[in-house]
Amino acid sequence: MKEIIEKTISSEVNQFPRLTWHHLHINHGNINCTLTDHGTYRIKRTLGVEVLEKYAGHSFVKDVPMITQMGKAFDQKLDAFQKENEFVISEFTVEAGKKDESVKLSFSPKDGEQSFTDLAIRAKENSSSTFILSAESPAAFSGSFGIRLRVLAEANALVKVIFVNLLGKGFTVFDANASLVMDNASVDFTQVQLGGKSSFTGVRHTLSGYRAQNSGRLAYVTAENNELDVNYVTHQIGKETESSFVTEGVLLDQAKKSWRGTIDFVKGCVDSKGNENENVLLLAPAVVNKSLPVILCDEEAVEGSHGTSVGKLGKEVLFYLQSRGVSAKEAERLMISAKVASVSRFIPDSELVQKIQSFVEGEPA
Amino acid sequence: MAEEKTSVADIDRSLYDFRYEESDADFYKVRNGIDESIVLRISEEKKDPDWMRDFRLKCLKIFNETKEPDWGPDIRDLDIQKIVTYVKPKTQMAAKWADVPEDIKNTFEKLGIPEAERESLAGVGAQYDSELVYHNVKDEVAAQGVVYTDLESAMHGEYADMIKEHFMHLVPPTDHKFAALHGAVWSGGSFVYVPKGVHVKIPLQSYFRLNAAGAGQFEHTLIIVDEGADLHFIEGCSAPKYNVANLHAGCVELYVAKNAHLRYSTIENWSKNMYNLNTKRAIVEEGGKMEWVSGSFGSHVSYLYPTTILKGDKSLCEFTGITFSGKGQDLDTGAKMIHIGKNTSSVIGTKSISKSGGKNTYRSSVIVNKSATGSKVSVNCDSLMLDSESNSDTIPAMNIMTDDCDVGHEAKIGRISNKAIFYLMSRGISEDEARAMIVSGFANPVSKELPLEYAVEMNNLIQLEMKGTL
Repeated sequence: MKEIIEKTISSEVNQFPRLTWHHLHINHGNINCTLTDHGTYRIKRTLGVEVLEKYAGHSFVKDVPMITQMGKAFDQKLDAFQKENEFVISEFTVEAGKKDESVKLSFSPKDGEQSFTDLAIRAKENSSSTFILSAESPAAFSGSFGIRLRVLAEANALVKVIFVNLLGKGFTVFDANASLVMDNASVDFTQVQLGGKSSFTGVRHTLSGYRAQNSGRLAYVTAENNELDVNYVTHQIGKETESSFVTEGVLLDQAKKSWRGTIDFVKGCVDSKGNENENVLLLAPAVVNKSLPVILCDEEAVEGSHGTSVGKLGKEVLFYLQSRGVSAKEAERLMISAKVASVSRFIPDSELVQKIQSFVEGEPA
Repeated sequence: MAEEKTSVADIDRSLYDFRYEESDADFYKVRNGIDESIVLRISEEKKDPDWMRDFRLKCLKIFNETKEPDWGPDIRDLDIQKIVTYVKPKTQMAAKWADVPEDIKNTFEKLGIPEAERESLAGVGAQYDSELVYHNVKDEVAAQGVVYTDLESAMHGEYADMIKEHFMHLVPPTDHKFAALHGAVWSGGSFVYVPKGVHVKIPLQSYFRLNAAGAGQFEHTLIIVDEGADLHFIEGCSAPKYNVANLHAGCVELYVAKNAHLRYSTIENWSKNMYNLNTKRAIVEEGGKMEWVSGSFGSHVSYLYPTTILKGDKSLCEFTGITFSGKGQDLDTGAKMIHIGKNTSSVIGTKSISKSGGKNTYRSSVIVNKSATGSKVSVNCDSLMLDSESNSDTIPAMNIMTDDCDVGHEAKIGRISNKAIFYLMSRGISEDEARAMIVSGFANPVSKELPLEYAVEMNNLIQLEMKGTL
């Protein structure tokens, strides 16, 4: 058996498309992780989805290059790791015209595992599909866990992607994502980031086609001295494209979070609309919250908006709950659950939603 | 064929685009470029005390060791070695307009400064190229103990210690490359001190005119508003357009003491060959209030982010600004707020309009430190694009280090709403008028904050010229 060539990656990732003041330390994140293996998963799928394992040179991603939002340099390091070890891409093809197809990939990394899994989804014309990716481990586990996901949504295809991170407290986690959305196609991303010590998520949507759409939502609860680094970018290129993205987050203890969300209206995307929103609840005095909601606009005939709100539990809300016999601590728990539930309700897997709920409440899964 | 509709013409600069020849007989200029001998020459011209001369040399060293920013507009075409950093009219500063040399006086007459002084100002400082040529404060204001003088006189007179204590402490030369350049070659500018409890009922104004081609202006404004005092200070600037680059790297340092109030209004209308790399910063003590009103219409490239440090508990700041970028302009403007004291609050409201290929970037930063419990922040930026040749970016960063705060931000970008135009037209208003009304209304939150004369000037700058479909 060929010995695996491990790769230690120490890299700037999640670079913001422009640069701003360096002293804010928000232009990019920094990841340190070691990869020593290819990830494994349990799979459940419907019959309309074909699964093949291909080397990078034979996958559709060779002809439809997509750079993930964790950055070109990082992608190249992942490519090198794949190539050196002759690892494959798991390629999922949803056949044209197939509706309501679904795939569930469940990852359960072992303690100390340092793995990376390369996934690619090709949703052919007029298909609809849902992909659920969950990564779970006992709280005491540690290691590195990474996923790269590239999605091609061809004309009129609808793809929903759900990623749930319920990994142990010692994990470095990354998910590097990219999608290319063609005419009248739609990609919807739902992410729940609850686990890991250092978690990085980068999502890049390229709305290339006429009336291409993306929607998305992210819920996170970052506690103890854990860190979360988020970078969402939507490039709106085609006419009448639409994008929307909502983030609901909670920071506790000494947690740190950097969130970058960019709507990029490229010249020619006439009559396009884009909206992003981040709402952060701060529940401890030692947290650090960095937010960078950005609109880049090269086209006049568009509508773009963004909003951010950051703060603690409002006095009025607290008073209302306390007047109904709910303690302050309980009120905080309620708000945390509510924020996560506002995103997890988009997950069509009741068992997984229950696991999320248990994780939030600090119960064993 | 129908003409393309435009709702807003470019800024009308014809009022400002006049110039006078600067002969060797009437003006002294150092050679272009920047090196130790030039810095020492400027220091000698200004009869600097030793500490200022040494400070200039230290700044030069920092300038040489500091890189240009790698974010923001491209300034690679700015060649400092081609800039003349000191141009002095061979005249003494006057306290009466009649004593100011004819060409220079005519310049300020055309700009309306003497008239404004007569009608609505408590005092005026007028700078021409590198030196103040006129400075005056009304007797009744001086009688209150208000000091409004050129900075160099203050540095040599009874306020020497005060100047030394404050000069470039709020904006240190290590802040960025052009702060260091300013520290090395600064010249001109004003010093204002408002004693405790004094309310200056009508504004003071400084006006900066850069007439020389290929020159730089590096004025320094230092304002100290003492406890409980109140001041409105207005700053204006302009220059004729040349085919070579001009540079403005001024510096404004504002100290707002306990329970004091300072409003700092600026109408910036530099010519389109100007690189405007200006630095403005205020520090506010307990209960103090700082207001910025900023209209940016000129320059080829601007980097401009007035910064406020809310040091004292319950201090607050409001920033209201508008930026208009047209053809050939890349204006990167915004504001920064740094919350340190408890229960501080800040409000940023900005508007930007871009047209004819103009590039507009709103860039801000809000930092809420661990100590700033109970703080509130509201940031609102709206951008209007008038055609698809233009560009508008919003880059607002927030760094929050306490849970006990309330921070909100929102931004919108788009074009003139078709629904709004339709609504107005359905009420009998022509399409051209409807567009003009909407753009004027968009700018109104800023113009209404200015004194009337300057609101009128701003509205003249945003001259509305409607070309309808033929």
